[in-house]
Amino acid sequence: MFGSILSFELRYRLRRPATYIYFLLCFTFGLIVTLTDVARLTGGFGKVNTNAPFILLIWVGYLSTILGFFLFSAIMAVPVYRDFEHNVFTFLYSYPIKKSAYLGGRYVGSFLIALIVICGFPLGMMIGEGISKLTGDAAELANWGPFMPMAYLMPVLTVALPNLISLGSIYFALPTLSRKIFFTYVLSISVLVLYSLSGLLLDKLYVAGYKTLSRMLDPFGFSAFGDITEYWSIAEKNTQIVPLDGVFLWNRLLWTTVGLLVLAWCFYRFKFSIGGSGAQSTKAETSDEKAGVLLQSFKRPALNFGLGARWAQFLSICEVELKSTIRNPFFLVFLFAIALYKGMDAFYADELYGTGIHPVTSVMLEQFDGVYVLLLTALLIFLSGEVVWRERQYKIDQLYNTLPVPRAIPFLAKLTSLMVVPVILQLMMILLMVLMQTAKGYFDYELGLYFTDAFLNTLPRYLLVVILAFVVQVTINNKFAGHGVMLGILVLFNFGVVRQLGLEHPLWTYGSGMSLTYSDMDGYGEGTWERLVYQTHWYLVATLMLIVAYLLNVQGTLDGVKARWQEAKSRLAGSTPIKLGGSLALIACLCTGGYIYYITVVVDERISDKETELLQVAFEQKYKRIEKLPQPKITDIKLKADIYPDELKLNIGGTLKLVNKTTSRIDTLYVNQGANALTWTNSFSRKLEPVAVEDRFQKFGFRAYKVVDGLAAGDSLMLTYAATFGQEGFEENSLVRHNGTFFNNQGSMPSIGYPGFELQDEDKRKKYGLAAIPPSPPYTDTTAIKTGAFAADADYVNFEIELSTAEDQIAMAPGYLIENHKANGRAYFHYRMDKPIDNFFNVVSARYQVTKEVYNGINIEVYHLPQHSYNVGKMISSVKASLDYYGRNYEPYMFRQVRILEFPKTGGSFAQSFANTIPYSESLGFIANLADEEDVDYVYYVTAHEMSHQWWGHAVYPARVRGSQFISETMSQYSALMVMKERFGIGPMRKFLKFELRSYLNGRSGEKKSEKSLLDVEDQAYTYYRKGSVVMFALQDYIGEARLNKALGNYVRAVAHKGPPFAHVGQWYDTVSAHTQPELLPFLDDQLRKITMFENRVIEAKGKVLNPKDSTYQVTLKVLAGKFYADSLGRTAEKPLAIGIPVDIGLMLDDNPKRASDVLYLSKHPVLKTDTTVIQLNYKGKKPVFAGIDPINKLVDKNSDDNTTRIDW
Amino acid sequence: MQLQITDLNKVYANGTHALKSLSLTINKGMFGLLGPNGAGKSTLMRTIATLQQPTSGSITFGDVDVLTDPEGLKRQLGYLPQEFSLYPRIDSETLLDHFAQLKGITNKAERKEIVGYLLRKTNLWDVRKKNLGTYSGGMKQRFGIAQALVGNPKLVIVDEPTAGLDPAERTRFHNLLSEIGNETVVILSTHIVEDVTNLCTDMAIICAGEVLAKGAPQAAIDQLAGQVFRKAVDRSEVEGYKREHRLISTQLREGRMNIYIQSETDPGAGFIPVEPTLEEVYFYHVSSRTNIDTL
Repeated sequence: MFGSILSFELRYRLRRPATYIYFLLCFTFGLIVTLTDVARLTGGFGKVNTNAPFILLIWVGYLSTILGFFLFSAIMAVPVYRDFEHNVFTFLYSYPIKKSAYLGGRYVGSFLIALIVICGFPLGMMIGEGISKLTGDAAELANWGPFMPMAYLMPVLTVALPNLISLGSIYFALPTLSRKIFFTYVLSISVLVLYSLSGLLLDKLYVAGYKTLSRMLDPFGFSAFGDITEYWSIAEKNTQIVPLDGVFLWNRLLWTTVGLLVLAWCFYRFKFSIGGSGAQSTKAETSDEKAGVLLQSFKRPALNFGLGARWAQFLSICEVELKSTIRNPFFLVFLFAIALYKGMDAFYADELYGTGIHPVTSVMLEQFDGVYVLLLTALLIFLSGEVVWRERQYKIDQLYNTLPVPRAIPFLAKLTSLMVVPVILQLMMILLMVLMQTAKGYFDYELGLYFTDAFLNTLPRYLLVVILAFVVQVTINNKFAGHGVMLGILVLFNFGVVRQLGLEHPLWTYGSGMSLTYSDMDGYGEGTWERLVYQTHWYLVATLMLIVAYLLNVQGTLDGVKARWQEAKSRLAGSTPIKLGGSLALIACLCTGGYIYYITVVVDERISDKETELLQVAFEQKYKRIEKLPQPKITDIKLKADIYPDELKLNIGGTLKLVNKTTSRIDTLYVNQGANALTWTNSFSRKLEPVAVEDRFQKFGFRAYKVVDGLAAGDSLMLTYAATFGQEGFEENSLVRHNGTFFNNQGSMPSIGYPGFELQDEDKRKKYGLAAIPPSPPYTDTTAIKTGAFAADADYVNFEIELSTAEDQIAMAPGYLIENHKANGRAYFHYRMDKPIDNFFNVVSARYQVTKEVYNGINIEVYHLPQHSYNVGKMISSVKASLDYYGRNYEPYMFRQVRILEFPKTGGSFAQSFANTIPYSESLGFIANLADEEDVDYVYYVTAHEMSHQWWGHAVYPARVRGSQFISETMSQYSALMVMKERFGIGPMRKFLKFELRSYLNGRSGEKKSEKSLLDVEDQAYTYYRKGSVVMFALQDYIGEARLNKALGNYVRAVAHKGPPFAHVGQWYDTVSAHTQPELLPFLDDQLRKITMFENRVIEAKGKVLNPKDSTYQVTLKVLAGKFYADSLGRTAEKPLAIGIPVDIGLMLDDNPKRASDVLYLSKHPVLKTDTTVIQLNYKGKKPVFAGIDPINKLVDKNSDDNTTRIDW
Repeated sequence: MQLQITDLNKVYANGTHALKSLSLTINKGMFGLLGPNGAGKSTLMRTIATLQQPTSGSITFGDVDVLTDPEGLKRQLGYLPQEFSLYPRIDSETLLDHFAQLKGITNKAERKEIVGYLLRKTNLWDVRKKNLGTYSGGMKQRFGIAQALVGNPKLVIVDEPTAGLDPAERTRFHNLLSEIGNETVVILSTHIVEDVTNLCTDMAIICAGEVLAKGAPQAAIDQLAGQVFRKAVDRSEVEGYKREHRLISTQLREGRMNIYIQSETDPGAGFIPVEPTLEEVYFYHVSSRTNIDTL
């Protein structure tokens, strides 16, 4: 019995075209993933192979499940439901079939089919791998490892199969028991949304310390294997197959069991009953006809087909469509899902180090983008199918089609009803955001801003989606094909595929050029005209699409494509308004398109990525030779800049003194001027003659001059330049914002020498036959250390600048204010530095509120938006603490002022330290909510970091050699950590250091080239920031903060304000090692010169109450400690080495200590063996709850989560 | 008012010749359209209702050329297709009001009146607030009738309207139709020959896209008077009779096989003369085109 039902099911499925379509879909997807570079996205396009088991796991596992959301539901939901749908059950259930055989046969049959369909995916990938290897050139082959069938098979077994059992069983059970397919739709979307949501929640759970629970609850096991692979090195990713063990195994078992339980429940509950088909009114059947009224006696109503009647018809259809949409349970589920997701997302918006923000409206507005648009688009795709197909789906179309309603009316009414959907959603979102603000205790609702943004900024984009989805449904004339086409379009435009194809001009992307970001400082900025042009253009395109769709719109029974085409032609011929309107729209559309093309290509001189590459290659080939040629250095800068915020204009110019500091004569001067300037002129104090430079190179500002008599060693010349910047095309070329101008010397002032306009991508360099970019020179290179890290064309410069801006703004640059005044509606500021600084300065201008404080003779000033004053006090206290700590330990502050300057988030989300001037983004810290003492005070931290740059970076100016970021960034991380530790104590450090450690491990895991040790670091931010924090914190812990600072102080005093040659890690290491205890020297070497990973773990912690009266306790820990050295690809030895240093053993009240008092005991114990060490502690005081080894995460631990455990009492 | 169908042809993309030079003139009153499944009835009705374009030919209704001015016809049309469904989540009153609006009844009071009247007439008044999804097949059919009649149609096309109705409902529906038939062209397509006899003043029998007979039902019956005979036979003998006589149908009477033949003279040999009904007329015509062997 089971066998025959199973074989029927299989035969039925194998006859269905859908089965093959699904399989082909999976297969094609797989093929695309390995044939294109898409697979490499997850590997970061680096040295991780395209077919690395790790990548295959992600693609096969993840994608099969994502596709599974839909495919499983399509396959698994129908085997039993089919019998209800086609009413086969009415007789089938009268047959003598066994329930188990019936359900079992259907389930297993569908399950096998689903499994085969999903296997299409790895199969496609395998074929893709084969083709790529056969056709690829050497460069491409380098991206592939050996073919490993197990790497394809394992993800199917460990991810896809269990997910098919759990998801598939649920999809099977629901329609089987409810006999309604609708639940399956609801389920598909709920699963998707809940999964996205659960990601957020499980992460919270994880951070809260319930690690295993959080991993277990993940229904698809992504985070569970994520744990195993999170910190894998490149080598591990390329060679190791992700094992099914630990939490991953348990997770898979748990969810397989859940699936089987659901299935069992379904078997148990299912009945072969036929039952009533719903409520029927029996009353109506029996009630008798009302007698007496005859039709003849009835007054016939007047029929009206005037304009008013047409309008009434339109409204009536609108109403019916809208009601149907709103009553569609799917719509409601979607609405609910979006609300839930976005509510959560908004609640946790912009968290940094786990610290939230004040939910200002401008940040809430960001919720109207991103995932919301995707969800909304999905909803609109679905609804457009419903709306277009409603009559046909409900088989009521024959009634509608004989109504005296012109075709245009239902067409427009349906479209309109769809357009109302995003309007409803926008309103819901506003309400939701206001609720979230209220929930977080924020009551300054900017309703006007909400409505402006929701209806004038974002809604027009969503309406374009509505039109597209509608047009696609109407023209494709097959609902599911329509969905498919829309999905294809979505993928094409949303995931950069269009760009990959080289169609990167915005005119290729429907609906582009319309996003504007709102900043509290600068509003919508300067892009509003551009937006208007694009919006007009896309609405014209949409109109044309609508006209085509209208002509092709099927009404009644039309026979085939040819008939539709004929009909469309005759419709066009028969309608003058359409011909006229269409032609007008077409002409207007060509005009706007042409205008956009003109502005972007002619005015903005926009070139494609490919053209840029070619230009870079040509330039490098021609001018690489000048890199080492002697050039003069800038020694004095005197500038004048007039900022016109209203006109978005900037006039800037001034005089630079150039000195030949080399020993040779300089014949040719190479000048790089701002490529985006409207006008730019250079003049010289001596006779220079322009040397011909190709036009294409001139366009990005490269100029060459022959110094007529040559510039002798020690000789100098003055370069005077004048430049104007303004808003010309769409590109933001003016350097000026309405409020919140922020630019630096790059592009606004000439630089001298080789501009370094080189292609960075190694794969592409190979392709163009360029040599690989050599690593930065080491500090032993005595020539290289003569060049400063921030500017090659200057050592230290004397700096002076005169600024003018709108009367209500303050303009600022490094230097002391010499003079300021207002005249003619303008405000003037004159700044001058009294000491030479590095050639790196900024200019800002905005309407500021100023908060000032004088501290030990130093002016501390914060320039900020009036409404962003939440954390100004924190910033000032951090500046003071920094001045104290750095002044005490390194050297006294070199300036008499510190200015923090807020700039708009459209300029970025960072803070940057210029000499005594720190621009600070409005989205970083100004709106952080630090009301909770237990949260990481990153405002305090970031401020201290930027302050530290005044010493590390500016006073100690690093040379342009390896490890320069160690001097500027790692030392600033260290300094800021010390200021934080002084303020908050050791307790909260674990949370912070764990963030840093995780970022480091994630960063190295995504390394594209090779990992470097701290002293050799080049551009690996994850090393010099993240690892730097952890390593430096450990060093001060082991060496001693005072001892280390003494060394650092000596170093600063030895190298500050000197050069060339400039500061480098060589002297740093020498100075610090001279102060380091001899027994710690190997550790110092491990930390700084090697890539060392520790693996410390607590196996168990047993507690015993020794004496309850005087609270004495004994805790016995079994711990493992060891270390590994990794090479630049992350390869390590199998067995750990002895750690060689004593390690912290700690007792704590909280796993994530928030206060210093949460850490009860913390002391270093020798753990010299690589196997288990037993440590017994006697402790008097509060009863400890957690115990562990290196519990504060001072060491770079491969897995920092197993360092602590709950004490077993 | 007169519906004039001239030389109508319809050839589907798959080559099926559904209508073959079909011409009919249909006057005010009830017009019955008889024919076996696949005869082209539905194609003809859909074409008249402007849902489908013919390959060639012309249709005029009064002075409206249906093929070039479909909306002109739609304004006077009431159509009840053979198969249709309704929106399940809308109540009948709302949907009928919606249709009334689309049919051009802009006056709200008038609309309310006609909607109320038709709902009472079709016996749906008590359930007018219920969602259509909860309606039984008969109730849905009655709603279909109501929507066909809303908006003052001058041409009513009903395709198999009484399928699924119980006898009482069927009678009620017939009354309704004959009421409007006085001043309207009503085209009734059906399989139930008896209905045509009872209701229609005029009719046509079509088969394989062609008109086999047309005229008043009684006239057609009269033409066949005295020419139909029946005989109870054994099943195995049917083939033999078929060769010798013009067999028009086989029917069971009290469990025995009876054959019906047409003959201008009495065939004798145990054949009993039968007073013909429209059914015999129908079988007589249709059997000339298709094998009506009901064995």
